[in-house]
Amino acid sequence: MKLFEKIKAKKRQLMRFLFGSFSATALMFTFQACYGMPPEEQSSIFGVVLDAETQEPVEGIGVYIEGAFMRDTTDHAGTFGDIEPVFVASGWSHYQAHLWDTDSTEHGLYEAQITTLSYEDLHAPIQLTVNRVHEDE
Amino acid sequence: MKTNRRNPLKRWLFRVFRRNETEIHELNYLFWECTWRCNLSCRHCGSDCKAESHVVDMPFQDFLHALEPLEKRYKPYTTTIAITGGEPLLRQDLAACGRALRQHGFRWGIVTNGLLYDEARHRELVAAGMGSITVSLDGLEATHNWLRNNPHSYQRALGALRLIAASGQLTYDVVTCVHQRNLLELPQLKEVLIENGIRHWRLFTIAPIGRAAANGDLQLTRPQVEEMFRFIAETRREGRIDLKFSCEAYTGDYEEQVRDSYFFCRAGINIGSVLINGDISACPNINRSFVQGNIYQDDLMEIWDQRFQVMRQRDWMRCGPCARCRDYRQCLGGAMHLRSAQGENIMRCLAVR
Repeated sequence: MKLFEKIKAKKRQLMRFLFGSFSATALMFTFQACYGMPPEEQSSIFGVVLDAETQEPVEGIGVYIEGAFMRDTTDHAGTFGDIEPVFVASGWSHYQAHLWDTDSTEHGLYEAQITTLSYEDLHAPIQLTVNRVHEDE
Repeated sequence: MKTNRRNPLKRWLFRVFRRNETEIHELNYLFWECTWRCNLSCRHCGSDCKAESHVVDMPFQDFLHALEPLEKRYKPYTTTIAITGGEPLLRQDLAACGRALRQHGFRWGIVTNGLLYDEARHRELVAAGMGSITVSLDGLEATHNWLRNNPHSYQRALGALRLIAASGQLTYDVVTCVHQRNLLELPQLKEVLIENGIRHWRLFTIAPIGRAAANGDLQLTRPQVEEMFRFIAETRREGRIDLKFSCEAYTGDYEEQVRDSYFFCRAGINIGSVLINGDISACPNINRSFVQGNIYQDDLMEIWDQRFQVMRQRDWMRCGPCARCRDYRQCLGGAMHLRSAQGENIMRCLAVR
């Protein structure tokens, strides 16, 4: 019985995904209660982390953006991001991107750092850089 | 041009979508009736609020505590908290409440009459992470002030809207309750809104509930309802302002012309509320006989999961005029706030055929 319920739940979620994937029906998800205010705008946040010196993409860098509820780790192409809509708090004067090395020396050792972004920055592909820790330091 | 009988495939898909959403019933939109105090005494008020309410405001910590199970269940950005009342701006701790909601990951906004919304309050609320707002404007100056029973109400509401639209920081709209006195003013009001940089507008009719039930003149006649739909449809075609009819009722032949999507009453399906005394329901304007629980005794998500059947299985709505209606399949008996109790007939139907 439990298995049957699980299959039904999966089917419902799949149907939801299919409906949401077609632009003609996407509006159905952005409803507003008849006596409420409109839904807040959402956006996807994505970008790339580059080595500050070589401008090459860096894998294994953790990225957390305060105010945007986005946490990810860069892949082999240095990219990070959320494919799901991310809420961005429009009222904040600035946003802080926290970067840290998640895999130690595996893809080079990098310093942890904090970069300040504007609201506008979050609505375009974000480019962040990290400083490599050289072995002789 | 009426289009209801077109797009049968689209209408079928919509019904499949609606059935699926009803089965999933994810709580995405939660009203918080934070106060019953109000600084106006509107002739059409659906909740019958008063300037000096004997009911004390709900302590924010009580509401926040009730949200804990919801926070565990869903991703934060999927739930919007709509702070309503009464007049939410009367709460001095509104920004502090909003900031805390934001820190917990919830999106939030307010529905206001705009009387207390000035630049300082705007900055304070935006800094607290408010993301959306709705302000009421019910006609040109004389009509709005008459309906709102306050000589300064129009200027204050328009001032608030100008501020909000110019800031570009908020998702917003202006709502207008359409009645017999302001129906013919709608074209002029449209120009006023456009001149003031306001781009999002939503029209309501006045439901015969609360104080409005005793004001029969506020209800539109059937030809007037159709006139309003025609105005909305023409304005949408014109494209100078984003105008829509609220999702308060099925509109019959105008379904595809007055809104972005078909009528879907999501009360108890995606919309819940925590009322001033802690009662758990759907939209706050729904008759209080439909209350499903209370946050002071129950777990919000347990109530959401295990009750609300009255709103998710609406076969009981197929009574009275709905029993014989050919559009029942599409409309499902209309909006919950138009039923005074389970088993009661719909108070009024706006469908035009």
